[in-house]
Amino acid sequence: MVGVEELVVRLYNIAFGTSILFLIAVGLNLIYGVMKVMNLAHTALFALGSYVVAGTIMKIVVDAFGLSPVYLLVIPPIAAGLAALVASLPMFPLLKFATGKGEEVQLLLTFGLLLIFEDVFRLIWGANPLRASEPYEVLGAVSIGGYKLPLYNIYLITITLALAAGLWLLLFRTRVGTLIRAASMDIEMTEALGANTTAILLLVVLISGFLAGLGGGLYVPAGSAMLGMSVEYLVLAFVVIVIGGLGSFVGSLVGSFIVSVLRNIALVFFPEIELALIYIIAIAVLLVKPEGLMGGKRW
Amino acid sequence: MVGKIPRRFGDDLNSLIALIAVLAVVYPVAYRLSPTVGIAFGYAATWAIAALGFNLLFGYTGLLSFGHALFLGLGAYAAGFVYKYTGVKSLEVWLLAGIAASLAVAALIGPVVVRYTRIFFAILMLAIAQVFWSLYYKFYWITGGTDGIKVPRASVLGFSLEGLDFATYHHVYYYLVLSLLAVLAYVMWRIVNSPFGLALRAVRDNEERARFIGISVYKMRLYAFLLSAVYASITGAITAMHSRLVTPDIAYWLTSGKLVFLTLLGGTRVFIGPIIGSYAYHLIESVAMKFVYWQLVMGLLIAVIVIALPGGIMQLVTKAVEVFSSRYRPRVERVVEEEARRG
Repeated sequence: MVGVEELVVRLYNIAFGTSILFLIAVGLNLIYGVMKVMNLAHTALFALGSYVVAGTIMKIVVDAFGLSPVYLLVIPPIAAGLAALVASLPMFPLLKFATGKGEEVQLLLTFGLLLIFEDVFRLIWGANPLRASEPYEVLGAVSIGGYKLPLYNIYLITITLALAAGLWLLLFRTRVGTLIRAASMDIEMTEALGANTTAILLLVVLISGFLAGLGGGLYVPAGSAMLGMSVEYLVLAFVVIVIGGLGSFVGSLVGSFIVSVLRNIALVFFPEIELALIYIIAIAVLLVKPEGLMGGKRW
Repeated sequence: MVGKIPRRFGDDLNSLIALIAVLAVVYPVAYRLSPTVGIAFGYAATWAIAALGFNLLFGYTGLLSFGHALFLGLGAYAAGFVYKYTGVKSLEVWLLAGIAASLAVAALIGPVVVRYTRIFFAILMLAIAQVFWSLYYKFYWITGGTDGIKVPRASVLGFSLEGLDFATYHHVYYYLVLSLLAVLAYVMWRIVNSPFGLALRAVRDNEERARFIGISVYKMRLYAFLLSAVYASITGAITAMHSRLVTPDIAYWLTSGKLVFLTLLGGTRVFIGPIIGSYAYHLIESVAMKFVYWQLVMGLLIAVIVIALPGGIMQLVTKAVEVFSSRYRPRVERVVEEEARRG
């Protein structure tokens, strides 16, 4: 039997995985929603955030402020988010170009961007994995029945919840949010009604980029920045939005949660087919409900 | 009448024959120039087979598979398993095993996946391919995991390639694969110019109208899917022998991406486009690989082609040929003339 402690640990891991995946997938989904472009380079922004923190920012912060938790926890993720935001600026015209073109154009163009990003990381930060575990170590861990729960993960989960709530408020309780949702339903009509759709699209791309970069910056103290992580997370984020539903905000959350649960279950019971299991579920969802679990409702 | 359709350069049989002849003649020069380039020719001919198959599905039927590595992987692993578990060292047997495995899986998933189109088909294929990749990767006691399955040089028509020295092997390999490519390209040419091929194009251009004139859209797509799988598995099985190792990499999505890219690089709307694309890709790769940041080069190249040259290299070539040759006048002009003659 699984003890209560173990259950807590598992739930904790699931929440951690869900948070990371959500920060990536929600942006991918927002962009798909308004631009109808599957941006394969999106997870490169997540990797960029990780690299910026592990390769550059964390050293600067430690040098400047020592091991003070407040600075260690706040500055790196924000810097990572801003770096990704800046990197999404030149991506915007390319994504706009791909809008309305065939799938092959979208997939290839953004795939090309992904390749460029990966080599730029190598150019700047080298080929070895980088770590930045200072915040992780400073916060320490609590033990529950022999298991160690790192406090940093709680911080990450809390921040993600706050961001998700903030994004929800933005999308559903503000004028800008209404415009974004309108643009994702019918962009021509939105434009015809007098909204500046280019500004809306740009805003969505920037928000998505910021969240992905922030996610990378938050993730890296608990993991490491390495080449190939863009692809690794792309593959997972892809499954998340397939399961959750293309272009759906709630779907990103549901999808992230389901994928995290599946990964944790698979890791315990049949680690050999962890990835296969996730994909089989994705295939099943595509076959039964191609628009995804939450796709029918749009938002 | 099928034969009367005015063809652009690159769509008619003469262009195909000329291309194969050029590729056969240029090879010794390329190898003399640099063995690396010669070896790239070998890979190019191998991948051209899969690219032709891929383009039957994409260029002619309008289904973009982002998971064709599935079939390359099946071809390669079928060859690997045949050798590992029976010890048979014959390329013919490996090819047959690869085709059989590929057809079996394609027949299993095809009826379901071809009901989807556009991005759903692309993602579905990607997902299925990734499942197989993760199985190769994880079931290491059968597949060798990332270490893969070691495969020797096989024999072809009773003639063993095992004892050949480096250069001779590569020469024999190139002409062997080029001959196979010639045969398979001719078969493919017959396919796309048959009534079946025309039906595929009708399905691509307008599904509803195709259905309206009595074409079974579903069946057309399924047959194209199966044929495409066969071509990809042939490349997979040959690659297994050529690289002497079968690893999960061949079933990874980057392999699918490479296939999509090289086909698009050559041009999807012209018959010989995928062959041109495969050669162009491998030549660029053999030069750019020396440069440490060749992914960067590749990425930039992809972006430039997608934005500035959507018809691939063949877009430039056909334009040039149409300007300089009266034989291949622009298609529209010809059709108009023919209409005028008929009154």
